Amino acid sequence: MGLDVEMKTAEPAAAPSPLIHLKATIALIEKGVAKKEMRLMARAIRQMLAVRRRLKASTVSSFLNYALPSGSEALSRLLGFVAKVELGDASMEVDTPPSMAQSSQLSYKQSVLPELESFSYLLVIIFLIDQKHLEDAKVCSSAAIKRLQQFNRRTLDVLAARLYFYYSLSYERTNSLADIRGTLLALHRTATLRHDELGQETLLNLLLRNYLHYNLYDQAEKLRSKTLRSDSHSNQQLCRYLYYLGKIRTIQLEYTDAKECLLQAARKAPSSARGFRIQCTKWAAIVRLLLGEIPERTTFMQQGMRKALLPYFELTNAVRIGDLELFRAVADKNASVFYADKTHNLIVRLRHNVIRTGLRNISISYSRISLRDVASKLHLDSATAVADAESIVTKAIRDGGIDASVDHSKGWMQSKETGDIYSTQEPQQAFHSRIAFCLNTHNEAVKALRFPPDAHKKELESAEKRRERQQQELELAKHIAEEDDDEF
Amino acid sequence: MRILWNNTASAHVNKVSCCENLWVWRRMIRDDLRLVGMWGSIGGRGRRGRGSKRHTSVCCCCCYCCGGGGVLLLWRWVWVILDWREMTVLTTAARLLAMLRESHNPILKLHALHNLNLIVDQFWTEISANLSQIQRLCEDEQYDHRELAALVTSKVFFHLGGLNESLMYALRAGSLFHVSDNTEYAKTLVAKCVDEYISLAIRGGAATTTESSSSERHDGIVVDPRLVSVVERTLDKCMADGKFKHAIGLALECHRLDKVEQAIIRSKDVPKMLSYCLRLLQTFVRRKEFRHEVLRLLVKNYESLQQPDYLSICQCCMFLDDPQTVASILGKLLRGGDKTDVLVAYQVAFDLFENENRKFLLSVRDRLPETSNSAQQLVSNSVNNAAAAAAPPPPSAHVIIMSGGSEHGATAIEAEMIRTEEEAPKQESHRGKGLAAINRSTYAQRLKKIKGIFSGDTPINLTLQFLCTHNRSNLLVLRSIKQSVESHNSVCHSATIYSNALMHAGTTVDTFLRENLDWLSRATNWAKFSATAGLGVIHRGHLQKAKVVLSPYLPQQGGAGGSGSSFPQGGALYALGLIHANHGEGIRQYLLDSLRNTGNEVIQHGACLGLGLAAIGTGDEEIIEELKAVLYNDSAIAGEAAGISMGLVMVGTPSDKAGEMLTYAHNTQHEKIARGLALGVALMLYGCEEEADPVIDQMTRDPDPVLRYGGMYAMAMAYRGTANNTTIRRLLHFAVSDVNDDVQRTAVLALGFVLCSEPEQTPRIVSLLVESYNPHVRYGAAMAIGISCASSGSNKAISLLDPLMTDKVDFVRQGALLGMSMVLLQTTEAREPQLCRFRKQVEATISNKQEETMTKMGAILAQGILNAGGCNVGIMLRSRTGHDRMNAIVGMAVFSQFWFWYPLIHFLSLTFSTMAFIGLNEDLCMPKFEFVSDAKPAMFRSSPPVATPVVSTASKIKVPAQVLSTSSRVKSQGIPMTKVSKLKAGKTILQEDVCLDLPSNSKRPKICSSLIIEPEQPTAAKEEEAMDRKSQHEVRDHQPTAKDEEEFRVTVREKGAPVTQKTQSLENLTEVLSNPTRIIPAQEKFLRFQEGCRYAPLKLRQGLLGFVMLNDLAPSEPVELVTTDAAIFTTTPPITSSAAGLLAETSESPLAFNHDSHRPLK
Repeated sequence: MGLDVEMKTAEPAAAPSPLIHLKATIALIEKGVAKKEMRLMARAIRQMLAVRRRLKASTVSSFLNYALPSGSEALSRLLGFVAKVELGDASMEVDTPPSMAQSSQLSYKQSVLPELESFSYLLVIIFLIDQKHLEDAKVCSSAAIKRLQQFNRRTLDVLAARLYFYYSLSYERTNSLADIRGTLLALHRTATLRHDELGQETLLNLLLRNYLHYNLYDQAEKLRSKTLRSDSHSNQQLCRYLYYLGKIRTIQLEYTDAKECLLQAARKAPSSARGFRIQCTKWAAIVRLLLGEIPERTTFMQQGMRKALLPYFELTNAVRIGDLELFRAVADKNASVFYADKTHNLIVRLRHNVIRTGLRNISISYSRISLRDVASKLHLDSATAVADAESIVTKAIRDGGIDASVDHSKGWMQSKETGDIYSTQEPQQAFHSRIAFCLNTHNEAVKALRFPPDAHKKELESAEKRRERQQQELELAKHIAEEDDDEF
Repeated sequence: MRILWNNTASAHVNKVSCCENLWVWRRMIRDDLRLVGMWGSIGGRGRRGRGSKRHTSVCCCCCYCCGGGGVLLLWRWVWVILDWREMTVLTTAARLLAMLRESHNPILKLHALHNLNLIVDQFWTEISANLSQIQRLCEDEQYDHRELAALVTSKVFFHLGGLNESLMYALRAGSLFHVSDNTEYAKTLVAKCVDEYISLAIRGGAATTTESSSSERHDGIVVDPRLVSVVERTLDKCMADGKFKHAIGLALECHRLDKVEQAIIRSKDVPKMLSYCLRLLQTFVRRKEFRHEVLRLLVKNYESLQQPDYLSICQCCMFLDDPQTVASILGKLLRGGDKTDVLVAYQVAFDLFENENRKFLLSVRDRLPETSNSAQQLVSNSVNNAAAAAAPPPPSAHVIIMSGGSEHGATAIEAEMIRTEEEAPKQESHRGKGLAAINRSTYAQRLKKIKGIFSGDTPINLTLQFLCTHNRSNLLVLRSIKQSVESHNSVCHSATIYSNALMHAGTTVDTFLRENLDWLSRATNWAKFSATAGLGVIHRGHLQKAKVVLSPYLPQQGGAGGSGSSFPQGGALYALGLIHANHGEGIRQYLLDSLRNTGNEVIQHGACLGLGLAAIGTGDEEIIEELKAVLYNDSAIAGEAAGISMGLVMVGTPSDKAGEMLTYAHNTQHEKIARGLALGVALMLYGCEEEADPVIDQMTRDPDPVLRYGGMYAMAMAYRGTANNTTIRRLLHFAVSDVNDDVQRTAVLALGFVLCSEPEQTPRIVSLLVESYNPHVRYGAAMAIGISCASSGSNKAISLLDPLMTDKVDFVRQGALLGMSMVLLQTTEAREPQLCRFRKQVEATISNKQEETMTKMGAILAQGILNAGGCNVGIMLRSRTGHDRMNAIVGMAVFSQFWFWYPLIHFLSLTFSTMAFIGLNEDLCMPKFEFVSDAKPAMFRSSPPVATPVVSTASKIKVPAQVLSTSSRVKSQGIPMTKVSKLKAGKTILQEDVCLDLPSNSKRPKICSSLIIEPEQPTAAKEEEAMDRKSQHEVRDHQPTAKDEEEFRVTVREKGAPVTQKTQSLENLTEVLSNPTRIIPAQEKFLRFQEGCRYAPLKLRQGLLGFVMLNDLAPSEPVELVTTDAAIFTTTPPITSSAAGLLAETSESPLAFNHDSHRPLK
């Protein structure tokens, strides 16, 4: 599962120096803690990620020296990691952090906010992952998680959720995800008990990802169904959740649900999260094929995805035509891609659909056709080809794939007239579902609106204004009365 | 072989787990052999404690043949060296779960359970699917390890979020559930356990806490003994860890008296724990019976201390309503030879008096030993110095008696005091013979004194004396109000009179009325009634002269004679009640007679209110019968008063009379009577909490809005100061859902009473109601904030009230003004800058001609409240020790009725509590001495006089100039600052400057009078002319005046700079105060007795507010007492008969303002 999706909106780096940028986030965090405002925390993280590509070891270490009190355990530990990167691969063996001596000279600052400390951890972990020091990132993130567990502050939630994510990511990159499953479960429990909904959501996703990484679909489904989910707090986490859920549902043969989940995930994902959307599209395409639908050509022609989706496009073509030979050829040609995507087993399931699509083509073309011809057209080359064809046709009829009937005694298949779809309820239902979707989106948008607190209070008119208004009204009334008098 | 098995097993496992298409696979190989491979081990490690060392481990593999239906079991006994967990990273618990299905082999089951317990945190999702199996195991009575099964089940439920089930199974797990584990599971469940126990304990009602057995029975609810044991283990752990405060809190919440006691005894600092417990009790324990039980426990423990804390004991006893104990303790203390004990006894008496529980005080007094006998003996025994004893106090005595003149009690005390002092040397000489007798005589004196305190004579006198001498109200304020209100507006007219009454409450200063008799005479009908009653507020506590002051107005015996009109007569009776509020033994009979002798409903109204006030909380049957007779006359005016008064007399004593009153309220046609009765019932329910619920329910469900309205008050009274959540919820519900505006308003207002113990909560709770669309709710919210945050100056309260002051609706502005003035009462500008702005706003509102009458009235009253009691009182609904002051709360409740009936405004005076330090020596006299306040004087100084806008421009320049020049002169005299006395002299001059009306000041009155008399020309025309001229003057001169003033200030500052700065720097730090002085609660912590001070306060007291008994460290030296201004007591002749006539005999003009109809328009 080589899926590395970091859904973040890349902000244009406007600030001249990353260090100044980072220092600005400190103020943001402190303000967020003071006001208990989660949004500010999220903004601080976004700002940090904006300068992520431009981070250098020196920048990070000077930020750490600025943000953390000298002599604190966190500072010395984090500086150690950064120093390792600085020294480069050549001198990896140097373990003693050289900044220890220098930091001890500085005066001891007052104790630091746990939020700020967590933020520093997050920065260092991201930096280490970016610099491909994955083992260090692993150690560092484990230390961060251990430290996090000592606090119970709601203001930490946003940062904690991020830390969990990178914790898991660093383990995934080193291919040791199984080691942290227990920790993640414990963290999830803690988050549930503390009503940390963001953490709950993040950790549930990480756990699902963890299970799916090892193909433990059963476990993942059990965990998912046993945990209570509240309304989602983060769009990113919701997307991920839908994606994992879609995968689970696909494996469970519940294609309709799976399709809905996967399409929604693809739709909800921000446009910058290309990798994630490609994965979603791949799975969605297969699920639609499994459902007997043929995805539109435009699905595969989206900008920046065309190349990645090419094997699936070919596959779709094969299924659309209903040609078993072509299907086999495409599957063999792209086997390596499908294995990498872990979709190979689903492709195997598709064979049946290819047959059915072929059958549908036949049923559209012929109002009546003998089963033998069906077998030959479908390239069914077994000994009991006719019987197989009959069973396939009857199954397709039962599933609603084709509208036909089988005459067993005469050995043919009779297609029914295609009715006028506009005489049925179907268009109405389609419209209904679209309208419902629009209304739902609107309602969610309204719900997500935020108003500054006490803004309405400004509108109260002052005493002078009121008096003025009353005076005016009085005059107006008098005026009207006079006019009335004039009329008589 | 072993290796082979391992290989096959793991191969199967891999196959199962790696096959992602499990579902497909299952379908496709339905006919295949489905393999569930498992293997595991059972170590003998589980029972290591027993010493059995079974190295036998089991490795087994069970293959189920699904298709054939047959079961193929292969058993293989292998020595397994490695622990199963070390062999591979576990990905599923299916194997262990399959083992559970083993019906034949208990060892396998045990093994499975044991391992499941270890991995449950990771595989709870899987286990939860098979939970029913494990549950079955723990319900199986035969199964030996059902505790382990229960533990596993509990853990799974914990993960599933079912804490209740989890707790149930954890309790079944018995000893396997470790309370002290540091895991999240254990911590959460223990917390849950305690919660559960608490809820059971509360639901269970009376807890039989003394029972030592582990299972407790709470009125039919059987508490699981295992639950009890977990809670007990937690409590014991708390105590073992030394967290006694936690333990006490927990035990109190759990209603476990035994544990409370244990925690108190085991802690090292018992007195501290006891006081902590007492505090918790007052704030957190809601149930009355339990509170009483704990109080009894506390009393027991307090008594067992080496130095019993009698103050706390007696407080507790008061709550327990146990006068006998208090009486015996006091008796013991008084009999003892130690002087400190006597002081403690007095202090106890004063503190109890502060709580205003009249009934209790009287019963303590009656239980104290009789004095008459011993007094007789005393007289007979001391015949030899009878001459000295009988003679009136010699004028040359070094003791300066407060010149009560005819005051019987005071004289007697003084006389006896002198006698003892003269006896003292003799006692030395006739030691052997006279010792017993003398002791008895001193004992008798002490008893007499303490009885004086309990009956209220002494404290009331002392308070009156203080308020008289320290009156700092400013008549200028009143004059400016008087001038700015239109004379024909009777609401503002009477509001000014109310304001005057509040401003001078208890000071006996009726100068304003005396000066403005002519103006006063405009009051007609009920306005006259309340003007007369206002005298009662002004002379509050002036017991001796009450009748003399009111004589012109009182109804003459034998009918409606006297001064003719019935309104002042009724008002006078009401005034008598106000004067004798909570102390009405002396006046009771007179009022009763007046009530009996009249058939006039106005006089009846006054008499009823008077009786109610005088007999507040006594439950006097005779009075009640008399009131009931008035009630059944079905006269609207008299009936209303009778209803309220019945409530007043029976405050806090619910009886079947409530039902009777409610029935009558239903039957009567008069809304006024119904309202009076509803309020009366509410008052009866005062402090009853749960007991009152049936009556409250009945009232709040009534279809009649008047009774529902009473129901709101009933809730307010029954749950006053408890911050009871249920009640708050109910009130909030009524506040938004009732159909009647009055009920809604009252519901919000009632919140103020319920929350008066936690004023910091009120703004939060009513913050949304303040923005309600309904002006009645907004009004109620403003008043609720005012009531609960009274005298607190709370920032949040102010910021909530601020927008209401500019509300669209006039009566909401009124409420906001009143609420704000209550909140800001006794705060100083230095501490609350808002005060200055508020004062200005009030003045502007009063003088604004366009302002609506209701708002104006609110502003006038607010002015009165801000300067209440000569700037020396605050509104305190709770006493200093944190107990509810019954009178104050009742007074506030009746006051808030002024919406319907203005004369009830006078009830606000009941809430006033003197903000003073009054130090008393053993003889209950105020000795002269000084102490220090370590704070800037400006911090706590009462507000400076208001520069009234109406006073003409000349004074505007001169007033500040005068103050500045005087002060700079005084300061520049070069006082050596070490001499405290001189500094004080300077200060008094400053103060005199401040008090413009002090007759002793030579310069000021001249200026003032010349300025002020002018507009008081008798003819209205002239007055108007003067006003016009003046306003023109003002407009023209305004700008330059301000400029001049500024310049003047600058020059003064420059001139006197060096000296002033020096003095200021000294003055800034500390302030020297002399014995009776105004202190506000925030100032208490800055007070300090200097080194070498002759007097020291009793150590037992926490604060220095109110009456403080002083320990004389140099008893042999002569005592210098505080001189009181004799004039105040003597020169209060009744307002001359002609003047009285003016007030009393004005004909009732057609313009007469009818109070009945002045409800605010909607």
